[in-house]
Amino acid sequence: MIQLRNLEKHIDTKAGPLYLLRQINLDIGDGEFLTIMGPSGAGKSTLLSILGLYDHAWDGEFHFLDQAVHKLPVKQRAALNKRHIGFVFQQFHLLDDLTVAENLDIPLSYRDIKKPERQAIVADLLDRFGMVAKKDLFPSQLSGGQQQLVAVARALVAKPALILADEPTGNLHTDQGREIMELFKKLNAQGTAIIQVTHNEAWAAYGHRIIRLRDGWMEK
Amino acid sequence: MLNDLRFAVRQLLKNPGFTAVAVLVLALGIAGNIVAFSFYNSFFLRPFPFREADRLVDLDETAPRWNLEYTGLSYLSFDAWRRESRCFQSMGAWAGGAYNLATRSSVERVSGARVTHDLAAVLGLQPVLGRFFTPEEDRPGGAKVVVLGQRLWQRLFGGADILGQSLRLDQDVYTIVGVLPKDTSMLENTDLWVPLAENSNSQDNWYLSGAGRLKPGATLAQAREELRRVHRSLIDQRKATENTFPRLSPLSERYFGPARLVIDVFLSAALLVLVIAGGNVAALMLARGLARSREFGVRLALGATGWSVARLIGIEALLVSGLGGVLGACLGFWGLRALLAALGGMLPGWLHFDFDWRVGLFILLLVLAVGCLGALPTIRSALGTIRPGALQSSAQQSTVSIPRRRALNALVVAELAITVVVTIQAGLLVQAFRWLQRADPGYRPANVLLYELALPAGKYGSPEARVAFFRNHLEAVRHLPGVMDASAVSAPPLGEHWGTFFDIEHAAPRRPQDPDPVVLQRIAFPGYFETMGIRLLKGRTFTERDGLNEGALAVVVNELFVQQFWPNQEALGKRIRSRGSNRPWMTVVGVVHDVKHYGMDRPMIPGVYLPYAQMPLGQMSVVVRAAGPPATILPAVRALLRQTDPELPVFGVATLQERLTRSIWLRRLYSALIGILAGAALLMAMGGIFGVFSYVVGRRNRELAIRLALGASPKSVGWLVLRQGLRLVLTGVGIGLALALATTPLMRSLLFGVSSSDPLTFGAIAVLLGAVALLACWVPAWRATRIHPMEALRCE
Repeated sequence: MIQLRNLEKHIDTKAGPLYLLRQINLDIGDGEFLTIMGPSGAGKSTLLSILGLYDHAWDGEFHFLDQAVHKLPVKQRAALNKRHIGFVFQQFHLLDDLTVAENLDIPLSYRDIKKPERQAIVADLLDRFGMVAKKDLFPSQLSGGQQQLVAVARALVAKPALILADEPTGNLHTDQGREIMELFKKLNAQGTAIIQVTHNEAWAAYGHRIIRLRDGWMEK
Repeated sequence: MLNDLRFAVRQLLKNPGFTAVAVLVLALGIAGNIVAFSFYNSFFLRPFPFREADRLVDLDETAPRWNLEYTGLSYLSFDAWRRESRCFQSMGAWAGGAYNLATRSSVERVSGARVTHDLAAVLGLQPVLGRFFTPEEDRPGGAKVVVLGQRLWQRLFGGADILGQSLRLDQDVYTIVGVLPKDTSMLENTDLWVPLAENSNSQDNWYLSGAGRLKPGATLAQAREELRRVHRSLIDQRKATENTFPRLSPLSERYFGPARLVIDVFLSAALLVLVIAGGNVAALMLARGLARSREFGVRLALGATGWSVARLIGIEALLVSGLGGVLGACLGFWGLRALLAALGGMLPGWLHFDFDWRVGLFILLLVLAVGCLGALPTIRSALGTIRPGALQSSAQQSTVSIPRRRALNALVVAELAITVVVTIQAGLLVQAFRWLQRADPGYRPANVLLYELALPAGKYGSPEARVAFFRNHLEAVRHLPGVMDASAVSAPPLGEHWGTFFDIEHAAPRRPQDPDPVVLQRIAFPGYFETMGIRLLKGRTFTERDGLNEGALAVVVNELFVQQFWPNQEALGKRIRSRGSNRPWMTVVGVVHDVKHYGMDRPMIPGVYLPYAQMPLGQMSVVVRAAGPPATILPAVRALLRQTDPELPVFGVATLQERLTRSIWLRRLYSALIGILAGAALLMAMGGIFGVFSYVVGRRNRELAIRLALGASPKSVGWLVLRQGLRLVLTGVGIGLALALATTPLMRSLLFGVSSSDPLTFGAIAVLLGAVALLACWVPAWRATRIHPMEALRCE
């Protein structure tokens, strides 16, 4: 699914270029569940941002679903993101003024899907996640675990091939965290590739493989 | 309280940018209001600086049937009112004029007034030397005495004791009996006074100004009722015409009544601009209040009451508005001085514009009002959304809270609506001014020089002598190099009013209740219409023979005269004559185009021109059309006069273009002032909208980043923001248009040549403001499209 070759990312400072990622070479297969670990500032979130096609300022080669991303213009990268990638954030990032159902609808509304179809997809997802009773509640009326559940559902709503999760359990207590990880496991079993960033060894173990980053380098 | 004040000062010093912007915006708004209010105060609130000015009343007459609000006062009415009134302690009357004053070396034209003997008592004037006039001197045939003004006395005699000395005025000899002080209240700019000495049977001549001093305790209403009664009895005795009535007004109404609407519009525009400035400060405070949500939350968590938080916010707002008030007072003082300097001699010299307690109170009220306006939305929002237990929530919200957003939206809409109103007011005034500039005055003002000559009755006593003088003078002027044509008239455009009535042959019979419009009479030399460029519509203009033969007197009438008295009839050949006289009939020999005699923005009335030989006056205005700049002719004219009559002063020199420009100068000034206010309103409103929008979009960064992360395109995010702005802009502009439609009819009398709901002005301003406001929204929207979702979300 993903091949990275000599991928590097730097920012320019007065003292010269500051490298955030160095010579990353990585292959991720279809349906894989990969965990990225490392201390703060190691470059985990930066790598996730590049894998999610949100960050375009990097060097090296990046192939995603047989497409050479490094050769694609920004617009086509955004289209790839829209079609194949879902993102789950540590801080949920639900929209406060929208209800649960409306939050789930948002990604679909950006994908030119007609309203009746969107309503059907959202209703199906609410049912799958057992949130039908909560569909009209606002994020502030939900617990942290419930909010992250909605965030995962929102990441799935456009049926992505890959879910990127940046410390998805970071703001949850253990039981809620486990619930989310079990959900990821189930989704992965159903064929969705997952790349997660975490500090927690227990949650890292849910992945098929763990890679570790330190100061921008991938540990062998 | 002191702690709150100290904290507020510290907060303001910590945010010098916010403080400077807020104070400056308020100072500008307050300065504009101070200037406007100072005029209002001096014109209408502060008593005039005359002795016991609240007891002084303007005396005049009004004639609705003649379409005249003020006719001037006839001596017959004045004399009867003075004799029979019990409400007045004293009454005086005067007629302004000018005299040729002969000194040892030359003759100069000085301003003078013919006054009744009691005027000094009415105005509370005490001579600095000698005395004022006695009743005996103020009778027909009384002694020829004169009282000098202090300035003329100092200039001519160096302040020496000149009582009993002689003075030659218009070649008559007068004895100096007194000197009046510099400050002569309403009769300022008068060099000397002579007794009116009018015959008490003088009728139908409304040429006097009058003033009365009420007895202590008497009211204006009582005086009006009393004089109405006295005047009724004059009418019943057939001494006075039944067309005129007493018109008593407070001095402020008489002097500044016509300016009231202008001042009201100016003051209301200034207040609206201040509301916008206050709104901007409120928006700034509201935006800053959000950044301090945590601080307010901590205060509440530590036991602060809502009142103490409100007090803290209020003190900060009052501090900002107080600083704005101090700076605004300085700027206002400076602006007022600059404006008064620009107005030059257009305002009475006795009018004072010093800052008094009323101005102080006005500034204080403004400061308090702006302080409250600035603080209230923040207090409401702070107390409505922050609870002690919710310290985290405010930091994690992805958007501005709904109450705060509503408050900000309301501010934006209100600012826009007010700006639309002020800008439309200014737009209409500018349109009216442009219309006046383009309007046809009825003559060609370019390259025409005007000057006045007054022939003394002693030397030029006979009509033949006067006719001969002017005929020779004009002939000589016509031969000067650079002169294309020259003529003379009794009252050029924008000059004096000489109203009269005529018996008009074949005019429709008039019923008693029908209007009886007064007719403007002018005396003109042959060649006047040609020199002025006044179009002849029918018949012919005057020739040298007109008026010489009593059997065939000629008259030229204007278009309005024909429309008024001979609609659908041929005017040429019809006859008119002065009403109620045995004068011979005059035959209409020509019809000319109307000229704007009373000003470009004043309606014209029916008018007639009589040939000079028919009524040879002593004083005439000479009009000279030059090939080039007309002022260059003047030295040659003076040289000519020195040869023919060295004792004749030339006065009232101006070009026609100067007079025309001066006549619309005040309108130009207030149109420009309100235009400046509208510009300030526009800038402030745009600044406010930009600030509020930048703030709101800034607060939405996280939400917009989420949307981008979820697949929204930058364009759709930009459009989302712009759409929010568009909604507010449309609402603000819509409300503003509705308010403007409701309020502009109030200023209809200032709008000449343009409708108060002029669709062009309304449409253009709506489009302009909408576009500018959208531009103010576009910048934050454009910024929104540049948000990097991952970076924005990571910052959270």
